[in-house]
This record gives sequence, structure tokens and C-alpha cells, in this order.
Amino acid sequence: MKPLVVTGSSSDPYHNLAIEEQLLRSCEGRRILYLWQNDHTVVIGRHQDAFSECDLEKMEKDGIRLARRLSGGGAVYHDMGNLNFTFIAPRRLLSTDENFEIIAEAVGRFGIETCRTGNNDLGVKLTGEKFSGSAFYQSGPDEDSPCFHHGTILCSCDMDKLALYLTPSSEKLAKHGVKSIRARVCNLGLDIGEVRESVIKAFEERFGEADRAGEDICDEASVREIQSRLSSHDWLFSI
Amino acid sequence: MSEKNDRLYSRQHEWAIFKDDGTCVVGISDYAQKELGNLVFANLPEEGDEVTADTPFCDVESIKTVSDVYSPVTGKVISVNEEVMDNPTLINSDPYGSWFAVIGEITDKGELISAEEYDEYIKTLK
Repeated sequence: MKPLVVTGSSSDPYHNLAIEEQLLRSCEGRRILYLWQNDHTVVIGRHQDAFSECDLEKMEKDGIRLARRLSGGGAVYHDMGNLNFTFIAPRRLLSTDENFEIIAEAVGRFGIETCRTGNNDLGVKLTGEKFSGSAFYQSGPDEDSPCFHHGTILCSCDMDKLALYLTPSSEKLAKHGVKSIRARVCNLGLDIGEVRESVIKAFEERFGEADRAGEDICDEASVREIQSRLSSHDWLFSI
Repeated sequence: MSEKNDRLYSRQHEWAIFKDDGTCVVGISDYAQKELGNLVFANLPEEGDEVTADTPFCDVESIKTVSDVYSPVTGKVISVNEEVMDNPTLINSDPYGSWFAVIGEITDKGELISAEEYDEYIKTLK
């Protein structure tokens, strides 16, 4: 089966995360690359406490949305200067090292050398600053379970907002929950559209020519159902 | 053979001990904790939750990934292990002592295999 590349057209985090989950559920052994963008959103990890990780009051005042993803890790700020990628495949086909190589190749075409930093991040080799953070979700531990590896590519994100809404050193300590870690981050200063095309090219060079689709490839009713769960108070505020 | 003989296993890598009082104690296997790596969070169900065999009923987060945990039986959660919630690394150090939940009112079971069969099964995975 040919790989599939899906390019999102919405900037709504709940819709985009619902598309991602529906692609995972319906992947049926296929390799999928999904590229998408969220505007003005703080995305927290699956097991984070929204109250202790971000400044909810300030977010509400400024019209910043709060979303929670299926995968783990820390809180991040997204806007249209950031490109999200999701590699979806059954576990036996999904290699995080291979995915990191694809992103490194895609960025390398613009003359930027990269390096792995931390557990799951990519940085600019020259400065060690992180431009891409990744997180993972697997629906089950066996080899056929669909998994995803998703992450960010900071191109021209508003860095001031990161510090404004995220409070990883906050004294509001939660009893449970995964803590965010502050990292030195940087923008690549590249055009999002060009980076998107470059990621698709690197993906196809690795896995062969892909079918292209928009998000309307997903079953609408299923997406609506997932979206209503992902935007519910329960999902966002309880861990 | 590395797996414990006193319990049954699922192919999704949970273990299950069926007690005389009709309840079932559930955790994840040594293979599962090794595959996941250091655990940072265990999101356990709540007492009273209805669970369904072969369906996710809680999830765990490690430094590598978030993974669903499947229920080996259909029934109702009677108690959960708060100690594991407070200190998820217990699952890494003692996977067979670190139970997740006790499930009662069991009406159905998923496909469960013996330690010996499970040991053979995980050999086919890598």
C-alpha cells in the first residue's frame, strides 16, 4: 500500500487533534504523514495538570486556547509560525530514529545542520538550541498496534508567548502530573510552506511516492465525536 | 522462562490473577515495562468504573511514550493501587508486585494464556 500524506487546512487544535486520532484509528497498516498547524494554542501533555502548567487566566483574556494531546511530555505554545508533523504507522513500521532523520533531512535542505537534543528533541547543531520537540502515543504494546510520533517545527513562532503562558517553574505544585521542562528554543526562520513541502519530499524519498489527501479523507461523524471529547472540560482539566 | 507461573497473561502484555473470591488482580508484564522504559505516570481507573475485556481501561506514560493498558476481563473496578499512582517507577522495579487494579463482578474474560505460552509469544515479537 502506498504511503499517505494528509495536509490539514484548519488551525483549530481540537479539530486537528481529532483528525490525528481518526487517522490513527483508521490507519489499517498504512504509513501516514499528517502535517498541520494550530493557531494561538497551549498544548499540554496527556498527564499534565493544566492549572499548574499554564496561566489559564491570562490565556482566556488573550484568546489562547488550551488543548490536551494523547501523547506525553510537557506543555508547548503553538501558533501559525509552527508546523506540526505526525508520523502514523503500526508499531512494527514506526521508527522514531527514522522519523527524526526525515525531519533532519527536510531542514538540512535549507542549509541547517541539526542534532538530537534531550530525549526526544532536535536542535540546531551550531547553537544546540531546540527547534523541534516530539512525543509519542501507542494504542497498544504489540507490533500491529497503530502508533504515532508527532512533533513541532518552530519556523517563526512568537517566542515571547511561550514564556507568557507557560509556567513550568510555578509554585502551584500539583500532587500528580508530569512536569514541563524549560528548554532553550529557537526558530528556524524558514517559510512554513517550504518546510512543509520539504518534509513531504524527504518522507517520499524514504518510503516512496505517497497519495495526497486533505483532512476530508476522514469520516466526518467520527471526527466530530472525537473532537467533542477533546474539547470537553473533563478531558482538558482532569487527570 | 522469566514470567511468573502464578497468573495468566494477555497478548497485550497485562497479567491477571484470579482470586478465590471471584475478583481479578491486574498489572503489566515485565516485558511491557521493559519495552516502555522508565515510567513517569500511571493513569489508573477509578473505583466503580465499568471495564470491558480487551478494551483500554487505563494508560501509562514513560519517558518514551504514552501507552494504553487493556482490561483482561469485563467487570467493575473494586480498588486501585494508589501507591503505583504516587510512584510509577514501582512498575519498573517490581512489575509483578505492582498491581494496577482489582476487578470484581466479572462477567466475561478476554483471551488469556499461561506463563509458558506468554513466554513463547514474546519470543516471536523480537
